[in-house]
Amino acid sequence: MNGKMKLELGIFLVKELQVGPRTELKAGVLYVNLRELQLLLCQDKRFADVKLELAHPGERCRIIHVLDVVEPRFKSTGKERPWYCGQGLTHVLRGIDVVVTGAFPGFAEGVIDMTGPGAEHSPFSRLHNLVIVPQPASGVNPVDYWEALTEAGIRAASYLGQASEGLVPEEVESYHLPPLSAVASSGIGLPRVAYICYLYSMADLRDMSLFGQNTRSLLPTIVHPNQILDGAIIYGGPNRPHKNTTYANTNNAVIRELYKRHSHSLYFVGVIVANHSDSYEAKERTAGLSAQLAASVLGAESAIITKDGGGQSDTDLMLCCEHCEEAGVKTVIVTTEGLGRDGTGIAALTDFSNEADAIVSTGIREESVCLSAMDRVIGGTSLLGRAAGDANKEIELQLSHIVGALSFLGYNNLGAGEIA
Amino acid sequence: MEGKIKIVHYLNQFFGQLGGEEAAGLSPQIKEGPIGPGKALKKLLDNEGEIVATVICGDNYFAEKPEQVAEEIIDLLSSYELDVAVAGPSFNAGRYSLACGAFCKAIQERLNIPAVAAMFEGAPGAEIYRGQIYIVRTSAFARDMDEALASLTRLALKLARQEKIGLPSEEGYLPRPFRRNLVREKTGAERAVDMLLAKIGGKPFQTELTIHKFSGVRPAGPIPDLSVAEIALITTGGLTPKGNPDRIESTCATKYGIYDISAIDDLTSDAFEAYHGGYSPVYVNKDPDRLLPLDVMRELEREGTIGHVVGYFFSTAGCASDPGTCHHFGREISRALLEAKVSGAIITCT
Repeated sequence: MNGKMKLELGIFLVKELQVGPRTELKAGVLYVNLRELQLLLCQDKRFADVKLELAHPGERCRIIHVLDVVEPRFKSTGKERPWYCGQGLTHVLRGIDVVVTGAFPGFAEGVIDMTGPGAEHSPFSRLHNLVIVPQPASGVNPVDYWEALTEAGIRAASYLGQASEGLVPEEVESYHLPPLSAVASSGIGLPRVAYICYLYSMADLRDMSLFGQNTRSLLPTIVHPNQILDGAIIYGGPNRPHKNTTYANTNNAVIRELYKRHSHSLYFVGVIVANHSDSYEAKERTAGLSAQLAASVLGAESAIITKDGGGQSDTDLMLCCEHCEEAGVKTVIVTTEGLGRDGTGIAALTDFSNEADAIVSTGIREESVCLSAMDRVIGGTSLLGRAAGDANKEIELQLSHIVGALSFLGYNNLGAGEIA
Repeated sequence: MEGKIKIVHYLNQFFGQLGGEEAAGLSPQIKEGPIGPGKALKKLLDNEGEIVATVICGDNYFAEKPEQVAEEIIDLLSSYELDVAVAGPSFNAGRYSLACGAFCKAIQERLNIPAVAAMFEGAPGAEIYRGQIYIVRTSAFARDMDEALASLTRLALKLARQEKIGLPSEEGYLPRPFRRNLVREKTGAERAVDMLLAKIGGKPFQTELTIHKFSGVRPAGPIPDLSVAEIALITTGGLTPKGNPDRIESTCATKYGIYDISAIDDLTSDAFEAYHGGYSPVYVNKDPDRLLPLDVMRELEREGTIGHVVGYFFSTAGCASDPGTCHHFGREISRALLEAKVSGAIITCT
């Protein structure tokens, strides 16, 4: 069979994360030599210092200034170059993650509470977190510092993942989607479904990266879903707490669901990655080209569309929906809602289309949660934009400030509707 | 819940069998047990509940002073132990549906028990009260009484038992005009694929969000004489005095600021900066006039091209803002500018 795009995710279920003299994975416990990892990360001279802390589920602990969350992985077989990603055996250490923190002035706060009401909303509250708390070297500019932070997160996640080298995973998830040449002869009678995945890149410190490159001038591009599951998309924008973390991208819920039903109730024909551009002209071009790729190259009869931004991204959703429906590709849109604190706002989205008749809502962004006081805070002492020294206190925050509470990809059960 | 659920039922003079239009001025009275449609309701209740009292009031009497009459009724009911109240079905009747709504609202607030009315979606009472009480959806016609009573009974019993009430489409009530987050049985991704398969398979599906369609905005007329006009500056680029003293959020902003520029000709980086989650503020912070062109406006003022630059600007961060909040800001800002006799404004957006 042509095409070697077969990916196996070898899952290691890690139940505990502890400090140890050697970094090793034994009997479901990951021991970490924090000093060794700290020295590794400090090799990057854009840092003056890097502190590492652990936060466990159930602790009265709050992690603040969260920028990204990364799942520890290790490439067991297959080559480690961007163009080979999506093939081979990749180890996944499930149950733990690396949290990258950092305070950039003017950015919105992102927190993870390890217990209390806040913990009910974030999936990361149920994982053991290794938290990176960096200090910038004097004089380093924000763009370089952000690059250093992104690399540190990935480097730490790889370092942890490497503890699984040579070990046998407990479970193996297999992902194999043959090339389009095989589609004609298989899955006959099954509806062909494509996935249009928008990413948001608009400027320095507000970029996503695809295969290591920001997507600012990306024309819609076909990728194999395995490439996304194997790390092709890295989070690159410190702001927007209701973002898709790198963790959420490597576990893209829409891709996983389409794979689950592939060859049973549908035929998954591929993924189109598109960018939320900063001009209407570019948005229309992206929408039109995505629709053509879906209809005429992938041969899809339908597509799921997900977004990656705030209000301006609603225009992309509507344009993409219209162009797809016009090209004969029926669509479902997945989106969060901007209905305000009490859900009485005039509109959930900032744009509309008569064609957008099938929408899955993954929750209202502005609903607030009252977070309880914590004994310990990792990452700083004051929440961004608020009075000094109050990061440990009881506080009311919008869901958009709880990292992972809202998902553009639909990985949790949150929704919204008219209820009593 | 021990024993039968105790229900009070509201009817107008006609369904309460006191007369037609000529009896519409009757003041409220209480009768023991079920009357008229209440008897059919009693059958539906079976052993679960009983109508302990029926309140009957003339439509005109209620319509004249609804709040007072509702209070009168509450007083009349003071000796009764009640678990839930029901009103109607009033179908498409105007005064009757308003009375049903007012009755239920008062019961809810004053007696602290659930109350549910039944009426047609287009009835006046539905429009006014659907945000405040449960209203079971009926047709516009009294011939559909059986169906209406069945829906009303079902929901009333659930409310009385304090059971979890499902979505409007499941339980048959009119949707409330607000939305809340809720936990569904499946993940968003699962729901998306389910919905897509139903859509392409030609099967019925229910969108989770019905989009609001924005209507067009009629532009204001042209400024008759620019050379004498007051022009204001507004920005959604998150420009604030240095340090963001009002703590305007850089995303999902809940406020806007009003800042004095009456004594300056030029925005400088020591006095102003930008807080906004959607773009890199580096260039604006080097020279804030790039975001809010005060320097150029002052030139136009000196040349006499415009009359005067308003001595303060409005600013918020338009990043992931919800449309409702933006609408609200726009209304307040435009009202303030009109009161100050401002003819035009420049809004810079990022």
